[in-house]
Amino acid sequence: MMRGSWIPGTAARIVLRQRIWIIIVGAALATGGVFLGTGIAMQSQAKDMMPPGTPAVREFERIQDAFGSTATVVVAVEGSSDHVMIEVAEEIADAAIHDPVVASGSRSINIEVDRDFARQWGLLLQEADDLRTLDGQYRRTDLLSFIRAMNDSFEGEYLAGDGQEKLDSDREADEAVGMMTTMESFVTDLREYLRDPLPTRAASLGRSLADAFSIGEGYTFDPEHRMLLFSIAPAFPIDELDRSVEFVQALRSITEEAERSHPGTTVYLAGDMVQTVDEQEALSADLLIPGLLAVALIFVLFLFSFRQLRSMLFALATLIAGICIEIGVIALTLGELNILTSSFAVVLIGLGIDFGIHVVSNYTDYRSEGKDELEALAATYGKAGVAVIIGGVTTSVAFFVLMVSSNPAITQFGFVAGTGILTVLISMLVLLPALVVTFEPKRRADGTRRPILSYGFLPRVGRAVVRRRWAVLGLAAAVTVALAFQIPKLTFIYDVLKIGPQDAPAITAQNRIVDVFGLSPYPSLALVDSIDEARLLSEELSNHSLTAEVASIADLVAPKREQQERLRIIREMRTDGPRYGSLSWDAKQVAEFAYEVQRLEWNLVEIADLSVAGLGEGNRIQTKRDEMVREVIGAEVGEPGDEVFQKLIVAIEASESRAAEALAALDAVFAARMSENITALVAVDRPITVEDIPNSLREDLVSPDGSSFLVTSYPTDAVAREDAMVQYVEEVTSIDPRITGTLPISIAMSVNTLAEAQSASLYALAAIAVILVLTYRSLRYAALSLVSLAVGVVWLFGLAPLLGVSVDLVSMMVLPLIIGIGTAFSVHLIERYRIEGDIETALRYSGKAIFLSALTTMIGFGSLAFVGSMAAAVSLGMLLVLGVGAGLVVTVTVLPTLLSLGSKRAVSR
Amino acid sequence: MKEKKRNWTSPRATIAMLVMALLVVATNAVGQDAQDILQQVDSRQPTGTSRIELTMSVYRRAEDQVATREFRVHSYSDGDESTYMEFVEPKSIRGMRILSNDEASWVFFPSTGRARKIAGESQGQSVQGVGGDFSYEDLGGGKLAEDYTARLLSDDGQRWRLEGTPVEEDSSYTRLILTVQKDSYRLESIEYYSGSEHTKTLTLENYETADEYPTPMRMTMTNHNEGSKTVVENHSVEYRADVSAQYFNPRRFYR
Repeated sequence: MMRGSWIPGTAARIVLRQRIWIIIVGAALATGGVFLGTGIAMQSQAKDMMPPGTPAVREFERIQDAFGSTATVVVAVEGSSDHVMIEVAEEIADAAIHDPVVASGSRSINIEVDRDFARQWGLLLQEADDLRTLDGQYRRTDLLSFIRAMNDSFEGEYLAGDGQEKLDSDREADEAVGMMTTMESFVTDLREYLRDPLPTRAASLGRSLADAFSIGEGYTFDPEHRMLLFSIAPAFPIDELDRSVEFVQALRSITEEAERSHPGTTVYLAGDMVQTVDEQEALSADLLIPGLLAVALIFVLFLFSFRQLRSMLFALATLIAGICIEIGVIALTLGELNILTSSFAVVLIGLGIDFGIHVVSNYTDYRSEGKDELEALAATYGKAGVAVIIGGVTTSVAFFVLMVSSNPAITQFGFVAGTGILTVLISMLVLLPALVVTFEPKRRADGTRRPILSYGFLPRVGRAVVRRRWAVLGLAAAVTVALAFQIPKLTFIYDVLKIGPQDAPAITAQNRIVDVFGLSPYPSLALVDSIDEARLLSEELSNHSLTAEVASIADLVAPKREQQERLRIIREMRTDGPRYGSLSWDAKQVAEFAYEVQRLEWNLVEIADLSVAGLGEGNRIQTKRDEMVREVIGAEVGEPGDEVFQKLIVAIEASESRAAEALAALDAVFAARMSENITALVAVDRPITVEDIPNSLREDLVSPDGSSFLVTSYPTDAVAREDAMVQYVEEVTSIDPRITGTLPISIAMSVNTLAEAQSASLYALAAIAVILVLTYRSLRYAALSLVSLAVGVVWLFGLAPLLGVSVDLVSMMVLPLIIGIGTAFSVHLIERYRIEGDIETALRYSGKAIFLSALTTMIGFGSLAFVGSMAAAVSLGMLLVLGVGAGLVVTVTVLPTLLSLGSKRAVSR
Repeated sequence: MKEKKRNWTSPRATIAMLVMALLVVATNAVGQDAQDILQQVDSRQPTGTSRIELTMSVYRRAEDQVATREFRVHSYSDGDESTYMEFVEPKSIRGMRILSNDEASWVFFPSTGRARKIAGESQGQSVQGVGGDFSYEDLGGGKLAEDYTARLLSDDGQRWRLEGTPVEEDSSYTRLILTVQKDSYRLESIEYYSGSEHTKTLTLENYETADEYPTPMRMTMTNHNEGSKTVVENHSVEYRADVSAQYFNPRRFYR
């Protein structure tokens, strides 16, 4: 070993002689590292952080191979009315088409359903039962007959009959609320029209009402029309990060302009590509901001702790240089960082400064004792160097062992942290002494400045605990056992989405869409080989209680037999004869119309009453009813609502003759347009095939070569709950193991990382144990080091659940880190104890360095906990603060008592 | 599914009342075959009118502690013929009434003052939506011995386990497994099977005597397919009650 050998003296001589060259080479390497670092890619895609053979990843890659890019940008517009939202959406789509970046990067911009397709095939897409209902509604297209038929249909569908519509699921609630919103628009528009019945308004309202009732809505609104959604399909994969950033930035400029020109309107951008771009920013921020904060806080700590502040500034400079060199190493070897490795700089600040503290602390102490530069540096290498090297090497070994993992993210983390520790260690042992010696002031530093914190309490603590060793050991054992019982309460966050940046615009957008639409923005996907297979899987997924919506080619292409039955009904509808006759309105018809409006209100009120049976009180149908009409408490009336139906009735009855005239003008357009639309709809005379589906719809359902089909299933917003998400993924993947997507990949990644981190930690522990035994050549010291480490780990994972801290796939990496840090603490104390022979002296010399190391590490990781952007980084930071804190307390209390056991001279007299 | 009409069936019967119909007071019985046991169960059914106050709690997941929805109902029954239910809670449908007999159901909405006739439902459907995991068939009254061919599966000294195979072909279930206490002829549980799949389990607990009839005050139907459960708790049960005929008249029940 170094101690007592020629190595420390030789090393010190070389560093002193070559100090200028060392500084020049160090600066050059650091500069080169920064330069090379600009080319490092940030990899945040979950699938790229998984073992390649993982089924969810394999299936995802199959889908990408078959469909090309699966990336989507979702644009969500919230505004005061349908009209405003449509106008804003149209403006955005138009600007996107004319923007060079967005236009060249887009495969399609789907703002509206293809109306020609809906007009041609719309009826054939309806189920036979619904067609029979529609047949009743479409027989007469004059306004009075139509509203009467609609009431008959409600009373048949929801309130009575064999085909009684059940209202006991989110999907059915959505449909009912959607229907109520359509009714609300109908009566509100009608009332507005009756207030000022201009012929032009009659024409436009008649057409729009007829289109809404026959062709359907062209835009995708939520059931309550609070938000309009449309999608933009990029023509390139998310992996092209620079292009993704440019694309999303260009879109953000467009949407911001749209918001400016329409005050009161909010536009959100969501989807996997936007989220990836936001994650890039968060990853970059976590690489820089917590690091800067940590350096600043460590500087303040040094200000209070050291006489020779200049030396500690050199330590910080060396640390930064070491990190810059490591950036170069990463750029030359890996070329990328991922969600795990992005915060490596903070890890190195927390761990690497420790080496500098030991070097500077010892060197300045020896210089103040009167030793010259060579003697002081040789003594530093001899007495502190061994512990620094053992601590550094064991920590780096703990990280390198992670490279045996089959998980590429963990492998990368192991490499980055392992090489990073070595790079910083070498920098601290070579570059730092060169800097300190070269720029050491001529006048001796001692006595020039008294540190505010002397850390003199540490030897006293050591003395006290050793004298009360049995009490301390008993207390430590009790605390350890108590905390061990808390460990099972530790929760693991499987949802990768919850460990990303929580305040990013993409997350805000997604949360808002989830709120409004009630479904998760993360679909499950499965690639199947035939339409029949797609149908079967769609049906199975639709029946799952946590599925909100399923989309596949089967929605558009029904089985031949079913299509023939639908065509038969449509043929009968074709022979219904003239759909309207005389459109003159008299007082009797006006009164009948007012009655039908009243009936419409009754039906909606009763539908909301019945919804309580399946959906419980306060459900969305009831809420919508209470808003549209009034709050209903049995036979009594609660809070007033908009009374949309009563207001229309009042408008109709205000002047029956005026209403008759206005309704006749409206009916002339409405009845004709409805009849025209229905004539077009019933003209369909053959089954639909895949080839009939327009590209805008087909490209999301059928692969370009037509050989495979995509089934897309959106879970309900309930999967935002961790347990529901795990249950959902387990159940849908048991329906079909080919199901993949963000949620299955997220779960698979968490499960894999958890298992890999646990086994890697065991390997690291074994490797460290071997190193310790070889270094100490004493089983006792190796065992004591490992025992104090184990106690620290139990305290960490016992305290975490008590303080509400969870573990996720990133913060699981805390285990190897704590193993490395905890070992380093114990190594320093044990090594000094072996040299000095008693605890008090060992703590007098090494205590300050251990204490400061712990504080700087806690500051380094604490900065992540407090200003980290990624939730995972925050969790990692909190766990490390806890872990290092526990390790420090164990090292200065439990370890001294253990060392004193069986020792005659544990403390000096 | 073809509509099943049986003269004993009251497909719109109230949850509690018709489950009650499956339950009997017990006397000791020894040495009986399976069909005899069912007949003993049947022979102790309460007949005539009844008045029950009950709460039905529907749980989306069987392990949940808090019910997704809860209904408090006053129910009046005239044997297996007719059942009248009036909702007390939740407040938004307070006063809603449902009358059911062999022919149809009628609903009265206090919110609009309208009464509407509702056509028959299939046996497997939840009772007017408020039945939670209880379907019409689960609540079907009548004689077990007439509707099921019984086979004794086991006898552990305390209770019999019987397998009942439906006589009618249009049943939603292929078989039931009934657990009957030997000393009292009380039903402890009914397991429902569709094909080889165990779809539901009804457990009957907290027996109390009401007008000489031991009555389970708590019944839990666990739906294994949906992972949900529905709990019915009776607060008061009165048999041979003085119930006005108006409640069972489709033209007058809502007045």
